[in-house]
Amino acid sequence: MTRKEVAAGAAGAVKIYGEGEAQVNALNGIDVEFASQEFTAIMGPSGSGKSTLLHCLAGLDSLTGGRVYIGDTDLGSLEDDELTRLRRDQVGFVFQAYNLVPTLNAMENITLPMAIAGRKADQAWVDRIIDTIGIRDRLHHRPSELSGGEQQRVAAARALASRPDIIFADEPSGNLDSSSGAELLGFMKEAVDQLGQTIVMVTHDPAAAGYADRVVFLADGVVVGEMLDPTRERILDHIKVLEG
Amino acid sequence: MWRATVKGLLGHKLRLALTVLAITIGVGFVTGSFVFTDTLGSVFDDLFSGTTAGIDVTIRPIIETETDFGFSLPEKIPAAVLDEVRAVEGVEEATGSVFWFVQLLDQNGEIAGTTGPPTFGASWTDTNRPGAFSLREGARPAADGQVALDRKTAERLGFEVGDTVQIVILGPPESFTLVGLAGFGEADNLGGAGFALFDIPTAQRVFRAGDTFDTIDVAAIPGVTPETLVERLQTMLPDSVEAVTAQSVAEEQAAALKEGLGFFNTFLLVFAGIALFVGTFIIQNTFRIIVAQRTRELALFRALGATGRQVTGMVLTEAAIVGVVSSGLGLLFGVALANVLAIAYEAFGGDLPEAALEVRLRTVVVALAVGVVVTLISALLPARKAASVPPVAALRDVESTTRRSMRTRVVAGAPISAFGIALGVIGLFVDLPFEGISPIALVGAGAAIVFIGVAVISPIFTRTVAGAIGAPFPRLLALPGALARENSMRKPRRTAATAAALMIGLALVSLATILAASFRGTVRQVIDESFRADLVISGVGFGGIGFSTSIADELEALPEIDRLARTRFGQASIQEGPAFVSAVQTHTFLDLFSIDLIAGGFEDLSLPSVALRTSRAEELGVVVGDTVTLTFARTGEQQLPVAAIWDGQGIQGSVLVSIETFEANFVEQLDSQVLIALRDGVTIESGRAAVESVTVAYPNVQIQDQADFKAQTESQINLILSLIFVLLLLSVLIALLGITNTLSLSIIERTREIGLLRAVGMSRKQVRRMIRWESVIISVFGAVLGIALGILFGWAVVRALSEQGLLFVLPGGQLIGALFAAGVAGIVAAVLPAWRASRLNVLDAIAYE
Repeated sequence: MTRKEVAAGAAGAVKIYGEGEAQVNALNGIDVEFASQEFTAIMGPSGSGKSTLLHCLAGLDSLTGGRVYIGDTDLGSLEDDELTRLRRDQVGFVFQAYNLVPTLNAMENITLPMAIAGRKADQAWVDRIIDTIGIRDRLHHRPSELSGGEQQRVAAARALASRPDIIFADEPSGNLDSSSGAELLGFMKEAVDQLGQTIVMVTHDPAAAGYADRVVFLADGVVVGEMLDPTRERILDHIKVLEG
Repeated sequence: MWRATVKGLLGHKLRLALTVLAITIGVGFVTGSFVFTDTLGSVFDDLFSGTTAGIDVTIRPIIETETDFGFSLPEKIPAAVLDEVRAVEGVEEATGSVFWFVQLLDQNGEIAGTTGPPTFGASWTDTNRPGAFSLREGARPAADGQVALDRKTAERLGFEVGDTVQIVILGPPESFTLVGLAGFGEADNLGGAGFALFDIPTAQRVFRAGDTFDTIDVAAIPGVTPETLVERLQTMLPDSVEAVTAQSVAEEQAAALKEGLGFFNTFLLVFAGIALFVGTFIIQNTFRIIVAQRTRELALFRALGATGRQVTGMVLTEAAIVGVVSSGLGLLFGVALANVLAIAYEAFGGDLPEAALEVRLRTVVVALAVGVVVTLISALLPARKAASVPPVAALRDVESTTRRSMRTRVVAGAPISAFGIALGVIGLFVDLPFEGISPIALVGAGAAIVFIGVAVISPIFTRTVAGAIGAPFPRLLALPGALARENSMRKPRRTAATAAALMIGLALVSLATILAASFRGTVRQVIDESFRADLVISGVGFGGIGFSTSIADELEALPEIDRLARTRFGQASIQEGPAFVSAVQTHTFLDLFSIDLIAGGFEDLSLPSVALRTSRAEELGVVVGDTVTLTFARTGEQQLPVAAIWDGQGIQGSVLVSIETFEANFVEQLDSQVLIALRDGVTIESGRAAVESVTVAYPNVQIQDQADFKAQTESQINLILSLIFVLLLLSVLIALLGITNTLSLSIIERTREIGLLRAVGMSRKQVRRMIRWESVIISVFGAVLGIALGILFGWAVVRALSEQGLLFVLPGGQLIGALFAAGVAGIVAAVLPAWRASRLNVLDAIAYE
């Protein structure tokens, strides 16, 4: 672990929702690190805090206590405008659904973060991604004209196009059938292995987690285990152990 | 279903708030207008019925000629008749009275109250009956040189009992001593007009009545009914005089005032109607969006077994509740508005006795009905659409864009617009063979239908026009601008519906602007062409009241003046129709008035004869040499030959007579205008100075050169225009609220999308910019449509009036200014929605269901 840089992480992160009887401790002092140029999956049952962790790491939500950071930047010290810029320039997103702006075509959606920043995209880089994904012939179509799998691949391309420090994905294959899902996840793995990206993915699907280099298991707002070089079968076994 | 409806409604409180506002304002204006005019009407009724106390019968000359512009005075009643009346059985008392209009001078020596109603001058009967006028302070005038004024005017001008007041009646100003202050019934003046009272001999002197009276008031011996007395009097009175009960006189007078109120009421109701019409567009749009947003919820009802009709009923019930609530608020707002109008009335010189505002049942019912009906009608189409939500939409996202082809829109919208245009054309250009339908109402209805038709068609070209308007945005405003443009184009029906309300407001504003510019331009041109004189003398004050004939006499003696021409105006009827008669000096007027002689000659005018305008001659079917029958108030029917036929803008009216003929047939002899040509070499300034030396003694006249004349006319036009503008602004305001409303609703729809953009790094400022410029595109789109329609309407109206000489002037600069203002208004309308969009919590937004 020490040979790789730390792309992002949380230290003693605490997130509490609500008060009194209705209080929910989503994150309970969690400590975790994510290495650069690695594909990490976060797994856990409902209520384990995996989505909350992702949101806080990405600067979409704020902690109640503890620290969360991307690279050297402590997210707690940033104002809203700075957080926004962080998301624009240093972070990529793939959500489970509704990733694309309906009025823009695929190409425009891919270059969206750069357009927001008013910058020109690195055309060579973008071309490479487009060809790797294999959606060049769909570039001028609007989201309503793309299949679910194509939409998610465009979303992934967008996440990569701005060359972020880290990409967060929240159940990216959750709405897809198995072959589209496999296609997407394979591409994400390729992005990490061939293009040197860093991806942190939340999933409940052991098959999806099998694409990752490392799986982190969460329960009740803390880390309860991890697995290197996971496979679907080993993950399933581990889950049985955790639940047992 | 009832509980579900109510709960559904409360859930959308905010969404409906702006809708409520539109109805509230419209209903408020309806209510306010009715309450104010009802209250004032009652005040007038009370006022005049109070004045008949003690008087049972009024004897007056029979008025033959009564036109829309007033009436000409008949011959007065000789004193001998008064003596005879006193001798009639059943008559306890009879008193004569004399009256006319007067003008007071204020403390600075200028004519007071030139913009309000005229001051009434009359004799005060010196009996001890409670008459119309009641003494409030001081004493009644009892000698020559004494006057009593109404208290309101005295207060306004700062006069107290004992002061000297200068009054202009038929000659130069005369000084009187203010001996008392009076009121009329309960009020301190006469429904907004002031009055000056003299004793009978003084009144007869200043009104040049000799030993005659304008009316004779008769009190009956107790036990004799007014009707009986009327019969008895009728048998002994000369033919030119009639007796009527005082009651019917009071009713007549009240009715005359109330007619004016009726116009005012109609005026306000028209604007209320416009506001409500604009409101229907907003309501329909709002309900359509709400239905679309609640697709899943409505589908759930359907899935659980509710029929389509029940779902429609739900939406309509919501609409009805909204209608009732907003109408209720509108009623309250209307009463407040009536209060404001009452205050304005008092500020303009009216006097309202301590009367509570009159809110009749009719007003409440009308207000509620109007509000509810308008809301229901507007919500009808969206409610029916709600019934067509398929139950399966509860389970998955059903794309609800029914791609009903645009062709259907043309098929529906084109005939509607054509029908509206047809109505308008008929109203403007066709002489209706039957009574009962006013052309103005036809034109108004036609315009409303055209608006609806255009609104139906407009989605077809929304994409193109909105795209064109937003074309520079991607370059100038980067991504937010590009997204704003895309968003305005993505739902053409919604963009068009939102813009429709503003379209109406701006069409009307453009129409008003074009009409005003056309009037101004025409007037300017007419004055340029026909203003041949160097200077004009005219009366200052209400309705161009005339001035003493001695002014022109004195001016003739001045060396600086080469020649002058005076005119006098009067009313008569010609072959059954009303005629505005102008009297001219046959020798000089052709030099100074711009008239074209078509046939005959003006030399013969001094023999009793008339000269007719071409249009009037054609209407009557007469030529030079024929005889026409004129009926004058004073002399009755007269047969006069037609000496000439003429045309031109230089003089008003269609019937010319000589001054001599006028003097023979009219009672009132006041000059209305004196046109002056200065000698060669005399400058305007020195000419004016010379004339002023004469007119200084007559504060009720003004001297104008061509430039002054133009300026005065223009300022009058501008005044009317400002008033109309203020009222139209109301509709524009409602339209802007509609834009705010729709934007807010569509932002709720786009919550997820906005959340995504924020997550991916769009700043709050960029989100605001995106919303703001989308609003600008919508506003400008509405403005473009509205201005185009306004130009069309303006051209049509001017065309219809071109017979009267109206020219079409297109105020390009002002219209472009309106376009620009619409854009700015779009920015303002977006402030709240943009702020709320930027404040969306990103996490909640992307998780939004």
